[in-house]
Amino acid sequence: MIKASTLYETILAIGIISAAIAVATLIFSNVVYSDENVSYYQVEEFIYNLKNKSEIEQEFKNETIDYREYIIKKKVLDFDEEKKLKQIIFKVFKGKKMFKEYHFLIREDA
Amino acid sequence: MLKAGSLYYSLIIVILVGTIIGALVLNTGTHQTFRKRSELNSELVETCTNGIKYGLAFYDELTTNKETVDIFENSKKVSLYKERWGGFNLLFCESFLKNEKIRKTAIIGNYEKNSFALYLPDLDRPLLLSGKSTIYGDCKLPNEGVSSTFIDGVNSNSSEKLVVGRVLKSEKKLPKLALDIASVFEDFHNLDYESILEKGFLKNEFNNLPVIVDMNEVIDLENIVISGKVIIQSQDSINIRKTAKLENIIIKSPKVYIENGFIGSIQIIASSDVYIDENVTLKYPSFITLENNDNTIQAKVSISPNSNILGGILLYGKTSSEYQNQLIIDENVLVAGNIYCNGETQLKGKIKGSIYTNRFFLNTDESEYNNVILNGSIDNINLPEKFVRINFIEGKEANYEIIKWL
Repeated sequence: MIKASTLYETILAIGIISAAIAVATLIFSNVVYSDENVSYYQVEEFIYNLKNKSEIEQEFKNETIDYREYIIKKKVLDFDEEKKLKQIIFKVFKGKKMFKEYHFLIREDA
Repeated sequence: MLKAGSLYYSLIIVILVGTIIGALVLNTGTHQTFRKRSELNSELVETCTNGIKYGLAFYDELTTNKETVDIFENSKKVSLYKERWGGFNLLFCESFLKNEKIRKTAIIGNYEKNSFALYLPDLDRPLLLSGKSTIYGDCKLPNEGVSSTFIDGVNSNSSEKLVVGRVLKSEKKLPKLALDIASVFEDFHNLDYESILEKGFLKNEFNNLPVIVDMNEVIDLENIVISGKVIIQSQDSINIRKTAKLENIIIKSPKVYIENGFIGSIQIIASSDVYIDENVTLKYPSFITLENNDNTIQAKVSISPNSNILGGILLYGKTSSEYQNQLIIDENVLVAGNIYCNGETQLKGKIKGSIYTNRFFLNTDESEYNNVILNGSIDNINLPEKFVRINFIEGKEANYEIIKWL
């Protein structure tokens, strides 16, 4: 049978439980939100698609693409003209902050 | 003094909440560790892919020693080197980041855009086509050109063009070979054939030293699985039975026989005789080399009906006669890739790719004919897009591509 408690005891217990839940929630949310969200993977996938498209369609032009909350800047450089090698750089921005950079080598078809 | 009633329960709840949250945090932490590792791996793969593209473009400049390259000068480095494996060029690439590394190895070949379907040196004899013979693609032929002929009661289909493509004049000799067949290695592991037979299989990765099995007597490859950087060598002859499963290995012997029904991917390096029985499939990329330096024998590669050779065939040597080597491609045989025959060829089957030969011959029950093709076909046009071949010819523009990942 459960023992009856004093008001003082009950308030203290509620305090301890609230503090424990608050600390736990804080730690948990910090850990969970430190992970990348789905859009991070989506933008990565999108960049690999852009790279494949550039390779298949031999599309070598600089451009800026909006994708969800990101801005992707594509820059094409001649890596080696004689060997017909192009370097494609994708810079991903979230707001004004650069988020990630990708480099690819692509051969130009003769 | 406080009574333990509510406090007792509150402590139990705190422990419970703590355990649940702890478990969730642990789960998330593990997930993050996996994510970071997977990201690292995908970065390594991407760096390695860029390394392979760099290696293909600069293949001629690469050496057999490992060379570390920072392709984009962003500290994502790759190690590159090349090797010869029989008639094949191999490209090795390794990318590394934070104590992790990924390795890729590939057989590479040449993507040829302007190759010839047929190269026949100008030995003052025209090429004669009979029956259902067809040639699709540009040709380099003797000054006398090409015409149709009547053989064994069969004439060529006169309503069709004999050669669908340009016909250019050939030189007096075949173009020079650019190939050196690497079958001699300074460093290797020697192994007894008996020990492989006991285990029933042998696999050796391409980044290891080659394993060489060398015997003086006849080797019968039967009920055995061998793959990778392995050379099976006999001073006498090698018989390959249909129960053998062979992948990417080199078979080296003066004489090689392949039994009816065998399927595998091998390189053959012979000097006297290669006989391929019916219904054999040498998967892409396979390669037959016959080097005949003996003026007293006529070396021969013979491919029996219904067999497929996907890769290439090369017959050469330092003999004085232009016809010391013989290549026989029987009915319903498909050879896909390049053929270089410093000798004579009897073509009754189908070549998807190109052939360089000194002359054609045809033996029938009634007679022997020179420079005649009866019911044979050469097609250098209707090939898969970006068909990558093994190049033999000197002076061709190198445009390297991956043939196969190892």
